[in-house]
Amino acid sequence: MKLICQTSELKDAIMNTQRAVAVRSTMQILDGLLIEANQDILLTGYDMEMGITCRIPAEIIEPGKIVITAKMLSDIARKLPGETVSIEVDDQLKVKIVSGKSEFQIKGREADTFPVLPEVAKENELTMSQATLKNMIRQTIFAVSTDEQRHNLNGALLKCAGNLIEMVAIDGFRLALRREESPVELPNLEFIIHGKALRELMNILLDDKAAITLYTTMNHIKFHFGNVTMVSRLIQGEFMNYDSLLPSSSQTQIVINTLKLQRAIERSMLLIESDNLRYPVNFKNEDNVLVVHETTNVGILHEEIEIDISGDNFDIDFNPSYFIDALRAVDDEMISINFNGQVGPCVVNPIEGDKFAYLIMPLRR
Amino acid sequence: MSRIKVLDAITANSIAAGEVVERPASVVKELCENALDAGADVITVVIKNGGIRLIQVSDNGSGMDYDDAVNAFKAHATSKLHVITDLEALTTMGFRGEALASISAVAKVTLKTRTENDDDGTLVKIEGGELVRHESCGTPVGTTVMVENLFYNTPARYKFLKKDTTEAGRVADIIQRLILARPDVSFRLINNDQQVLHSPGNNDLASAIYSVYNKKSVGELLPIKTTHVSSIQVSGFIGLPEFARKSRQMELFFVNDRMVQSPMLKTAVEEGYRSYLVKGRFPIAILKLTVASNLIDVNVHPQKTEIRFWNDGEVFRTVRNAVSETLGGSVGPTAVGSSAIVGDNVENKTNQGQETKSYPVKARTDHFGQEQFASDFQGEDRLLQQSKLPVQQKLGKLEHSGALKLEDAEQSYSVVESKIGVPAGIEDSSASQVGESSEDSVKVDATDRSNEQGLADSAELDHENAMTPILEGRLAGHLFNTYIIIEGRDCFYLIDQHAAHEKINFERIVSTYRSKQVITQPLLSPEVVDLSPSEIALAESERDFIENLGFEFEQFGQNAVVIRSFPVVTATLSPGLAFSALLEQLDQLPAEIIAEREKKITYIIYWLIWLVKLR
Ligand SMILES: Nc1ncnc2c1ncn2[C@@H]1O[C@H](COP(=O)(O)OP(=O)(O)OP(=O)(O)O)[C@@H](O)[C@H]1O
Ligand SMILES: [Mg+2]
Repeated sequence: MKLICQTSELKDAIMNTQRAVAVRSTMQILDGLLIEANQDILLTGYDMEMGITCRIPAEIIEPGKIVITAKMLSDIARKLPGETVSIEVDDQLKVKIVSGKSEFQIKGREADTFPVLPEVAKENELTMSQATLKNMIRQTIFAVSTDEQRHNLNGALLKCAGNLIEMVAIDGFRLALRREESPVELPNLEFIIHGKALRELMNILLDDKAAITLYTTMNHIKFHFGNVTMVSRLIQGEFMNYDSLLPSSSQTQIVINTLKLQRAIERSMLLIESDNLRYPVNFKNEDNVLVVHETTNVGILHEEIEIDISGDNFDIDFNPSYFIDALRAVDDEMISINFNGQVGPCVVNPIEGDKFAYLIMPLRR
Repeated sequence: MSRIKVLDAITANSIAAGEVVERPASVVKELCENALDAGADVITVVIKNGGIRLIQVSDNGSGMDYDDAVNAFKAHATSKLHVITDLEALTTMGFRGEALASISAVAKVTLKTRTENDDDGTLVKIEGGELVRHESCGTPVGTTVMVENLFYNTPARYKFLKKDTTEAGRVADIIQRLILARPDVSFRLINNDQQVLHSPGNNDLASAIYSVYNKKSVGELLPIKTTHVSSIQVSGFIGLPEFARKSRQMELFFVNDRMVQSPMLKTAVEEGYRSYLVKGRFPIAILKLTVASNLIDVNVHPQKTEIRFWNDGEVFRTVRNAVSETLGGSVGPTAVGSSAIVGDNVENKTNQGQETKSYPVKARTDHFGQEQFASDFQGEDRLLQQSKLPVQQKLGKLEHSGALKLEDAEQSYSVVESKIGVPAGIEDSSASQVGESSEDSVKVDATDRSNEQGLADSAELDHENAMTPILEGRLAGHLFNTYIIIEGRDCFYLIDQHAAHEKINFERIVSTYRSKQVITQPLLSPEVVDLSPSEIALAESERDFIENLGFEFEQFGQNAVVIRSFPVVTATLSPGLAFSALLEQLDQLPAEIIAEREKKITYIIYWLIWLVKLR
């Protein structure tokens, strides 16, 4: 194998595909990146759950393929001096990487044992802008459960029907829901995507209108965008029936400035020294004022924020970090919060429409 | 003709005599095994007050004649074994001729029995070992044994009995296992007039399994399929990887229809699941092995649950291959690839002359007796040294290095960890594929392996990771009133109770518990946690304590509870895991701690905080 390509393109491709490289696996080969040179270069990282490939143009002098330890390769690629790089592999699997006046010689591995990514037939297809998907992920991912006992919640549900597309994540104490409207009629689809895959995807996706296409089968999902393809095994099983969790009415409704509330809670958390103590933050109202109150072993915070309120007075404790996560995900300047007393779920909504819903369970004293 | 013979002295002595009767569950086990030995296919067990007041086991087996009915109670009287060579070809459950004698010594026992050939049945009544009645009576073919007032004449043993619910739970555990062991027999368990368990007895293991476990919680089960040729036959079912458990509780093994404990078999199954399961998750496996009875030894433990195979290596390979083949054939396409390759590695391994040590459990115990457990406080050095050993040598002997790092007690949180790593396979590719130890990561300086063929391909093993998926820790005791000892999987932890900084937080948490002002986090929707009947019984008997910690739970069928809320302190843990881990701790707490409520709180909270810290 022998090829020449742009150093920066190779570096980006390595960064992208390295996200799918197995950190520790019983299959040694999986800690490597597969490089295949034909008309162009195709890089593949695969940990048996998720695979990422990236295609970049190159001048191929001699086609071939090789596996190189991902960490080594990315460390090298990041530090190469020249604008172009040449990679050459001999019969002994010795890899020569030359860029500028620097020449590396490292050991490669036989590519034949590298597992093949699963084929994902184009059964179901869905296209949207990268920015939209990226936002939907960003605004729900924090609520994906990491509790391995509940594997069906270890990912987010992507559901589309009619002209609505929803992404939902639940971790047992809270729920995050994002909804987008599509200008076109969508197929009826429902599948659970691994949290890890979503997180990596979010990091590769661009903030612009460039398209991303999703293909799904029973077992897998494939994302195709730009020169990148990601394949991930879907989580099998049923997602929680979340419609029934969202309360249809509320005892109290307030409208509040998102950032003001977020900053107040952030300040309250300054008083929580040790993460394992989980002091609650208290919200209650005094007429048209929300009082944010925090008492911990280090001190007390009392803060007031003006609100519009309708319904009953309230006095409720929350886990401050759950609230913060939701508020940080919201881009709207003002939000509406619907309280349901000290034990009922509380829901954060936009003041108009139903683009998002963040449900948080209060704490019980 | 009478069949029961009193064993000759040599045979009698060569059988390890043990405490057969420890609690109601052990009585139930012995009586059911007798019924099975008598060829019964319908067995009904009735208990009252957890079996303390009454245990009654009725069967439709062969029954006994007038003389045998009393002989059965004589020590070392058995129909099942006549001379010592028979022990080697043991096919019955009982063989010591000791169960009925021991039971009748500590309870009031009434036996009613009739054989097919007799028109009249026999009634025998024995109280505290004394024969009080022996007469003819009318009774159906088969045998009914009634055991009343267990331990009425041995107050010391009576005292050790737990609450009725706990004992009843243990009885249910026993019957569940028997149901799985013998799908051809219909079992029924009735506790305080309520039917608790009932199996169809249609000789279909799958229906037996589903009569014990909720289909929703074990999921679809894969029947074992194997092409591997071996003198050992493996059948049964294994679960899909996504239904894996948090504990080994559903790795159940039956050898010649007898439930056995065997760390070796567990390791073999887990090896078969390798690359399908993450660390800290354990498969569902209900496996039946058929092995020539002269190749096993079941008399290693008085409870007859432990087993020794004469051909360990073969058993191990057969089970592991059966599991991985079954998975390979049934779980999605990606998994097939992985299992194929794992299989290859496995072959390599055996080629390297590793046969005798194919599973780590053995290697561990092997090593414990030797050298440097505590002597080597400079663990790192030791590890480096070891990693220089030739690969071959390490493969032959999976070594432990005891590394005890005692951190400054003044430091913020002094969890002192002692990793007893298993450093084989950290070095070059062939070694790390041996696999047994690849999860037990050990920090090794990378420079040390640079002499290996150019750049070693070994994955970065990081120390942090090895500590993460914990919940396996067990409170093991305390030292100098200062340290709490927690035993992890391959290591133990010393927690300094008096470490200044943490003590403040700790005191605060403990005081919130004392004053019952715990803050709890209700769950969005209740979480179902699968438990065994004995765990459920334990949860019920410790309900106050558990609720005080902040768990809110309700029983949910025979094998589960639902959790509605849980302590906010442990918010980063899985509620289900935390709950079952808590039960495990409560079950294992040393007696001196259980007795004192204060101490119990202290210990459990330390343990909880420790869990959270290690996440
Ligand atoms: N339910 C039964 N039906 C028929 N025979 C029985 C029954 N229970 C006991 N016996 C007879 O009584 C004998 C003594 O039983 P016991 O349980 O004391 O000893 P064992 O089963 O031979 O050995 P072990 O002590 O290991 O259980 C048995 O060997 C069997 O012949
Ligand atoms: Mg017996």
